[in-house]
Amino acid sequence: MSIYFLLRKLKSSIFYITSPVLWLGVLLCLVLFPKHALSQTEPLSVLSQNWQWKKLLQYNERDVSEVSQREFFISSIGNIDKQAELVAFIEQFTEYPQDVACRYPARYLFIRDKLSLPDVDLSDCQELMDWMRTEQPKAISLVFADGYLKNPASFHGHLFIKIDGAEQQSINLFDNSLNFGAIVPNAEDPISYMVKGLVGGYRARYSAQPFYRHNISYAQEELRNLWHYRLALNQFDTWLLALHLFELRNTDYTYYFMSKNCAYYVARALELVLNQHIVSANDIRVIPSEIVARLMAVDDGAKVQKLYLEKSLQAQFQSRYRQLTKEEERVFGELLATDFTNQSTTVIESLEPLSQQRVLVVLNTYFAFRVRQAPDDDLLKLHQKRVMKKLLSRPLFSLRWQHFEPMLKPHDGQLAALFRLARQNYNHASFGEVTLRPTYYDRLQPAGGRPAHSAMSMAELGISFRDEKIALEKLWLVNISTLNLSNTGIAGDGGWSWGLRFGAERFRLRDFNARLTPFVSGEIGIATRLNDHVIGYALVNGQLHGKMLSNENHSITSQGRLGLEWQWQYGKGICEISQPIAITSTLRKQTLSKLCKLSFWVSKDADIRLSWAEQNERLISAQWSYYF
Amino acid sequence: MKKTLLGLGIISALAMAAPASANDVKINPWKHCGIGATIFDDNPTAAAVSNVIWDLGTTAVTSNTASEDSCASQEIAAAQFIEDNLEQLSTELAAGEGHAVQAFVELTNAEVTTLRTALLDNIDASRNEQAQAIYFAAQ
Repeated sequence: MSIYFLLRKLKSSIFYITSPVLWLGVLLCLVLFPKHALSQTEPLSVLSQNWQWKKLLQYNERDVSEVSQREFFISSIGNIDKQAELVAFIEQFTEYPQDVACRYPARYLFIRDKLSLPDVDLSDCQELMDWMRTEQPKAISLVFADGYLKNPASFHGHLFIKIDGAEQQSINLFDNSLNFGAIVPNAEDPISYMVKGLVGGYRARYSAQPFYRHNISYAQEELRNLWHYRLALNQFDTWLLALHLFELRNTDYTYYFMSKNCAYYVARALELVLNQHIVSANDIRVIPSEIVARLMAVDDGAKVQKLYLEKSLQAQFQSRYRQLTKEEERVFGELLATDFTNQSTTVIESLEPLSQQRVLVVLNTYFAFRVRQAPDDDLLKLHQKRVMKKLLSRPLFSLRWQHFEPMLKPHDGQLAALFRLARQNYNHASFGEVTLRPTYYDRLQPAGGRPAHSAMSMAELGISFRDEKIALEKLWLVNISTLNLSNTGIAGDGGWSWGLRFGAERFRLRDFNARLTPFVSGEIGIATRLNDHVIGYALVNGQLHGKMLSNENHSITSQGRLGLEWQWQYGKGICEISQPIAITSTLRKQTLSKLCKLSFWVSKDADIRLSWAEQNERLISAQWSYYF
Repeated sequence: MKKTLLGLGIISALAMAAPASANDVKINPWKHCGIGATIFDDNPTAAAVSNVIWDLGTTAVTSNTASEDSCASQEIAAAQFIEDNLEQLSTELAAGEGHAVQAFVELTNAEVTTLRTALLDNIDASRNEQAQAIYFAAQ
């Protein structure tokens, strides 16, 4: 760093007025990353093989670039020839240093670190500075948004990158965040959306936004937890990755929902600083929670400095409510039955001022969450306003809320693909069964990074082997269910539990010789937490189906289901009874069905299951599942 | 020299505006920079377009009294933040803490107590009025 350079910048008065810290940050960056005198003689052929140079050009394991835009490269063959791009950069830079450095700042920073290049002040790159939104990137975080079952595109969760402007602070809503997503036309119909998403009918690109936009969408409106994986990077790598993300801003790609999606391209960008590939162009499935697991596996987790959970608005309310004392909880309940006018809320005066504030803050959080769910409910809005008025009218104590986190983190979840071997023992016969499922999870699996008490699977296939015969036992094209239970018992916390499943299945519990029957099944009901480990649920199910048995002619069956689901440290269990009723011109009650299933989580990759079920047939089953 | 020119520019702009009071000289991002629907009360589509323009990172083109520079300033970022986050910001202001309050205070150097007072004074006002009250309290 030359004194001349420093003085030149000090003379730049307009810049000095508008953002003194900005250029100081850039100066600091250049001081911190001095040129390597010895590497000046490093041949370009060697330098072009450097991992970071290859990743700056988005080269993959096939040694070609993933970027197809011509303008991303300086050389016309830069997408297939790393050395040509390196030579072209140096040549162009020699002629137009400022323009080239501003357009390719990450490449500039990298080469300047290796070779003797003249200094360029990146703070003069207006587009870069506008894009960065921070004077100096202090860290980079990978943010995982929990899966969201109300939108098929969000079942698997979401990943994006955040450039952190502060070192200590976990969350700054003004930080820049980089999202990768498909460019979907407005008012696209759901069928086109699904089909095009699966077969590559959309283009996709990175977009930069202040983080608060994501916070509103995910944590506030969709009530999804956000997990911030702050990367353990040195300052050079932090800058290099931030500048690389800037270079990627105008690239676009063909989008495939299952493979070349947000998780894939976010992972590709991160590989720049991981020194290894964490995805492959051959991957047929790339899932956000698996990418965070792969990130955590790099150097045994050493690439993640810190994991911070940003709770959804609902989770915030639940967490705070659970921290109320019994007396505060009682007053909270009594207040909830009032209209929050001054006359009706005198009950709060029985509490100490600090407790009053705790109750009002939890009420305020509760109404904020409820209003987000029902923005047109004027009564909820009125009640929140009155609670806010009470809080705003009083001096506040500093409250200390504990920050409880789920034991299972997104990277702890099991992998999405399933291979299961089962021994099925019916009254009449026994057989082996193989189950295959490309994605994603069922209710008996641990819920790391997935909505708890839910299931979401696609293309789940069961094949039986008996007496040298192979039979298709089931093909569930889609199976989604969620028990949307209230964790607090307060009105509005929780909602309807529901499920949707369609495909084909042999319902052997009704009759061992049941046909393979196509069906569509939907259900709705309620669920409630009975204690810390057990929940109960009641569902009404309706099923439209083909002929299950040769002597039947009904095609609609309804059933009521009552069940318990519980969890312990090493597994999970479900017991349930259901009463099916066949619907034709009359209602015909079928045999009551009972089942219990236990899953023992023997490792992150495997579980052992035991189940018993009985209707007209009895089934006892032992299963071994492997997740990969 | 540039400082002088900038200063002269500001002075002449203020002189042309001929403000009647101190508040009048402040840029109102809702009125001058296309944030929110205030200036398009009868035309929600226009307001939406205005905000889309803003989201794309360019300054609003609807201004008839403010320069592009003034609409690209940090103050406008604060106004846009309030407009987008009013629900979270006001909830947290009532509680006295939270990520939105922290971010906003860091951006504007405003006092939390001042913002709380402005919100309390406008608690029964419309969303737009509340947003603007918080914005001006932070100036």
